Amino acid sequence: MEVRTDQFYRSAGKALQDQRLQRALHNATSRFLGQREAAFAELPNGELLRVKAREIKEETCRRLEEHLDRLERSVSQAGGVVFRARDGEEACRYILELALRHGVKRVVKSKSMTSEEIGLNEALERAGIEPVETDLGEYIVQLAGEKPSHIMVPAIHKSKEEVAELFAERLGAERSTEIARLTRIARATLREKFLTAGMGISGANFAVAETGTVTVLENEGNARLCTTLPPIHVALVGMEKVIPTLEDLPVFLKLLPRSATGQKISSYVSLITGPRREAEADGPGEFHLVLLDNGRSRLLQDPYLREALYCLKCGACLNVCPVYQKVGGHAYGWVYPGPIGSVLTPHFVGLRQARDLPCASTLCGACREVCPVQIDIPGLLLRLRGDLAGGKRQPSPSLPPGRGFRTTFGWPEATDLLAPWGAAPWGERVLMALWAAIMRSPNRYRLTSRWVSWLQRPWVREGKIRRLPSPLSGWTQNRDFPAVARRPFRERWKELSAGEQGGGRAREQRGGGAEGRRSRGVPQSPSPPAFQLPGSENRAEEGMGEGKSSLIQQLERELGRVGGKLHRVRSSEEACLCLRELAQSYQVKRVVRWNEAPPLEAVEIDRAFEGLEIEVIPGSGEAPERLAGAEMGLTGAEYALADTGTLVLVAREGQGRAVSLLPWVHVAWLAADRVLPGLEDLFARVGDARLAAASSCLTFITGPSRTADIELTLTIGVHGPGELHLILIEFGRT
Amino acid sequence: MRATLFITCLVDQFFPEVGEAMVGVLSRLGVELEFPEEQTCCGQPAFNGGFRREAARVARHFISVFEGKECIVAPSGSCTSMVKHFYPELFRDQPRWRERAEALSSRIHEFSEFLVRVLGVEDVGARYALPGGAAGSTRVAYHDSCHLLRELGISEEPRRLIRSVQGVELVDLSRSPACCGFGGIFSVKYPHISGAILQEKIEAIRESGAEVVVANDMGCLMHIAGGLSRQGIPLKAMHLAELLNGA
Repeated sequence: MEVRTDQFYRSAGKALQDQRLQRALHNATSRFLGQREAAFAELPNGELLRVKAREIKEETCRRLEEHLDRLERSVSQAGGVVFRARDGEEACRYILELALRHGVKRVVKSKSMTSEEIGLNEALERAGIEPVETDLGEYIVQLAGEKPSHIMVPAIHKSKEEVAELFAERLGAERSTEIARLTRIARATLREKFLTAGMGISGANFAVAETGTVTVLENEGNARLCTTLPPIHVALVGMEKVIPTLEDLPVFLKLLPRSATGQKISSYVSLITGPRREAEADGPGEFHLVLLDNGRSRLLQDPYLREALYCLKCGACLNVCPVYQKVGGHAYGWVYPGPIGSVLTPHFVGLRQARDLPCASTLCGACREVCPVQIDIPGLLLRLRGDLAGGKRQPSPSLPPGRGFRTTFGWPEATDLLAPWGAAPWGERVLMALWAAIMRSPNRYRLTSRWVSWLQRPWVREGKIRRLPSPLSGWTQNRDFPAVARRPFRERWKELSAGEQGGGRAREQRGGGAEGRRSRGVPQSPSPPAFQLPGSENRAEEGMGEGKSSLIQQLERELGRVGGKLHRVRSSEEACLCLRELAQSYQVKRVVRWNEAPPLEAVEIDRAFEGLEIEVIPGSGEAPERLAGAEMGLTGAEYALADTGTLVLVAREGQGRAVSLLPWVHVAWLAADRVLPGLEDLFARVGDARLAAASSCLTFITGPSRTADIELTLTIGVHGPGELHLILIEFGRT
Repeated sequence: MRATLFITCLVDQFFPEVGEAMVGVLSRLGVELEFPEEQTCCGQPAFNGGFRREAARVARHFISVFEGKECIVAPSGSCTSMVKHFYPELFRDQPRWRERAEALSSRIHEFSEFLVRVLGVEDVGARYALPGGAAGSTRVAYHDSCHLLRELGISEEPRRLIRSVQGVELVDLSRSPACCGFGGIFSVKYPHISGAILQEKIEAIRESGAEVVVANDMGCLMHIAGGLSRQGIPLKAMHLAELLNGA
């Protein structure tokens, strides 16, 4: 990706002039902020979770090599291939060679900033391979030949009219400014791409060393499609994404969606461990994990800046940043925008090249306050400003040569291209030196004050200055400046101390009311809130003691909140009846089902549709095109989580991943005793890693597929199902 | 109770009336004040600009002036947090100076923090009326200055103090914890961005229906007042001390 960080000042100015962009930025950032706040308000131990997440990241980065080695072993054990790429060039080359070896013509991609970082799309295009971005926002941006402007909503800078125009021009679609219609157009176009791609490339939010599990969070279902349909799946993952064990995962699964979009959990969470197992119904036959260094291990050597690597890429710091809210993502000039981008980008493109970024911040600290892993972003920006003004500290001599040194741009040790004296403008240096010389001497300070108050006179009108000379002229572009007081405080002090301090007024008052109101004693600081153990909040809140029925009520409520529907039945017969009614109400012609889906028998399911003109096809062994032709997919589920309204599906023999993904309606069933309170309870069960290791894919489904990528308008069913039903079978309920 | 004034360079040179108001409020509460005349600046502008060497020079001067003082009060959250939090950071590699800096950390207090947490006063017995304003209550909005709020964790104290002023009604400011866009040198280096952020703050203040906007940092207030004045908006921006002094 082209580096335009040196044009920050001008790009920011352009963004400020763009009224539509200003509105879009305002809407997006305030919406996400509000939702984030509401989500954390519901999470009583949110602060403790942040501390925990931070600890995990710190601990992992401390022994990163160990964890990476373990990850490598686990992935290999699961049948996957791991490639450690020192830089972007190596990563691109590996993926290209893999694609060429398999004769891949088309690659479908789910959102990955890491792939932007290494310029993967450009590399694929040069080799004659078509990379297709499949996240709706990314797709729009790619069609327009632009770059993402926000981590979560890449196309916030585009209006629905622009999208309509784009689709008409590039896809020959009918012109419609109805957002649901535009989403449908993208669904149809991209569905075709998914079915014909030879390779799927995804990023990952986390890679679990213990099990070799790559975790992907998303809302649209495009990442599920990318990692399920094509015969090869490549996960391109920055090496800092490793976490030690599956048990560490719930902490992040709770924090990341809440910080990013204010969701309790993303619509889809995929836990992918290796390629499809032999007996499994579907999934890619090859799995490659490309672990990218590209300067990360060098960043890790920096005792201060290393914490920038803890970043989860949630985007919360963008939304809350007063500067980002005004200038948007493009102004930052490279892949990573916003406050965290201002820390990361200089490392990748060189501090001299990106010297505006650390300076373009008010250091207000709002970013640190919302960061799910408590990165001290203002502190890091101050560090970088220090490097700019005072020259870069020496790189650690303990660094093995050649490891992670080169950047995408082939500049060795990019940040250290700085001269020993730094890169701050000379004018600024001289002024600062002068200022320090004045401020450290009370005499010079007094003298300067007197001079300035005399020199300013011609410009002062009613105590204000409307135009300041350079280098302060920026201030008076849009603000008046106060004049230096004729008599500074220090001169007034003498009279004050003679008058008020010792004299009548102060003494008179002293014995009076004010004294009486004063309560002596130790300053009262607010006592810290009573924290609970992580994960205990749901149980405490919802009252486990009230038993199963309250759990089911909670499941029903949460499922409803995310747009799903719960049907409570008492027997297999009732479940089948419910299935039949649902199929009739959607007027489906073809349904696809899992071969095995306890507690229902396959024959029972088939019988449910007897007498209706509905074709029932078993999901295993069918070509995806045929599955895609079905309007309804029927699956069982492993568990449901009451706290979030989540279904947990495990890929197995006869239980394909695509059945719950391709059709418009997804209907699942589950015995009521499989409802668990929340994520921790689930991970307590799969925490021994057996479940994760036994299957290539665990999928958490929370509501139908959704997007808000066009003008932040929530639209259902962009890639995955638009309807979700859960039939809960409460055997023996009276 | 004795306290030492750190008046800050901004108040000393541009807003001495804020210093006077602070002296007025504190001495009425029976605090005996002293003002070391050798004081200048805390060094924050250089520190925030990345000029650590220059900042350290000024900071050493500050330390030698205020060393040994039992209790220091300043009318600024950002200057207070500079001394409290960033001095020890600045002298990280100079153990002797770091020790001296750390000794000051617990002794410096921001004005409203000093009133509420140290003196235990929430009502200074002030009343306020806008000059020439109608009888009745004056609507006041409080802006949370970033360093005061996030470095020092002070947000309730100033509000309590404002609420107890007679003749004043504290109105809600939407997104009050949002930065006003000042940011020190940022406001001069990137005036277009700084101004755009300020515009949003000004809109919020206007929407609140306030007649006076109060904050505890003259940096923010200079910036907000500068914008109000340039746009000819007849709203008053003042420091908490001025309101409490019933100016």
